Amino acid sequence: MSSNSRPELPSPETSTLVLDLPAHELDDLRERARAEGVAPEDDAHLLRYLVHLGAAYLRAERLRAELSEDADETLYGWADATRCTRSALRFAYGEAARTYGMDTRAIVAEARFVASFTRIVEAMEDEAAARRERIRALEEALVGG
Amino acid sequence: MEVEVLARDLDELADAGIDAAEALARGAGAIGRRRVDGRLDAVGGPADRWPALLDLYAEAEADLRLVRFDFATRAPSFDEAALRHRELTRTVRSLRTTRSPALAAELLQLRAREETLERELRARGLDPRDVAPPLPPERTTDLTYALLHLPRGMQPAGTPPPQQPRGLRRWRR
Repeated sequence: MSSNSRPELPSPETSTLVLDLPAHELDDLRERARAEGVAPEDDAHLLRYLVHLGAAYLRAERLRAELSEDADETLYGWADATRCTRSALRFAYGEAARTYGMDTRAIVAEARFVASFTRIVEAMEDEAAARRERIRALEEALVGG
Repeated sequence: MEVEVLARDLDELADAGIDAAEALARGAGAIGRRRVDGRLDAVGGPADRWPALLDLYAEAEADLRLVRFDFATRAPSFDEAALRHRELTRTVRSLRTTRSPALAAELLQLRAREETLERELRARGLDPRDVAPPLPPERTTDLTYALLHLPRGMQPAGTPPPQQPRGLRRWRR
């Protein structure tokens, strides 16, 4: 997938959050995430996931506090939109990763080709220079002799 | 404990007045207690609707932001690889279609000119090897590879056309 056909992405710039989470709590979270089978298991992804999960709960709960009557419908719309965006983004990411794999393999093959072809070209240039010199000597001998 | 998030996501949290520690605590509290097998089109009746929607929305939102983090942070590598691939493809094309054929053609001409001069010197009773020693065989480049990679239409006269795949030939009969 070329960067032109890619969905709009935020800047890759990241910030580091320092979280106060004791090691035993992280072990417990890891265990619960594994049992649940939905949350990611590696620490970096799990912590990032938990921050965003919690933020989403807080956002939705605020929504309910603000719009007590229509909160269900609004949240349904949010969930629907988020799931659609997620599907599209996941597909685009998969395609981009696949293209990256192909590019990477092609780079290795083509770099090898360029290296071997460059050696041949250098040998040809070397031969051409030597022949030009010999031709000059032969021509001089013909003129002189 | 440190965790990296997209700067934009952190700005959004700050704009919404959500504290990261509070969000972490809320998210951690939900793991293992939320419903994760629901479908949006099958959320229950009025009593059950809000908690089901809440879990579905929060899970989708967290997952979306994980995918977006991975995609956004890897996108520069994707772009760099695509650019490098394009550059290499250009170099390969230039070597195959410009530099190498031109050099091969020049070498063929130089070799022919050398042979002509050697013949003329011999005709005058001179030994060309006494004038200038011939190039040792190891300095004579094998042009097969360069000529093999000539693009169509630039093959020297007498080059046989490329063989068609056997299956195709049989099919044509």
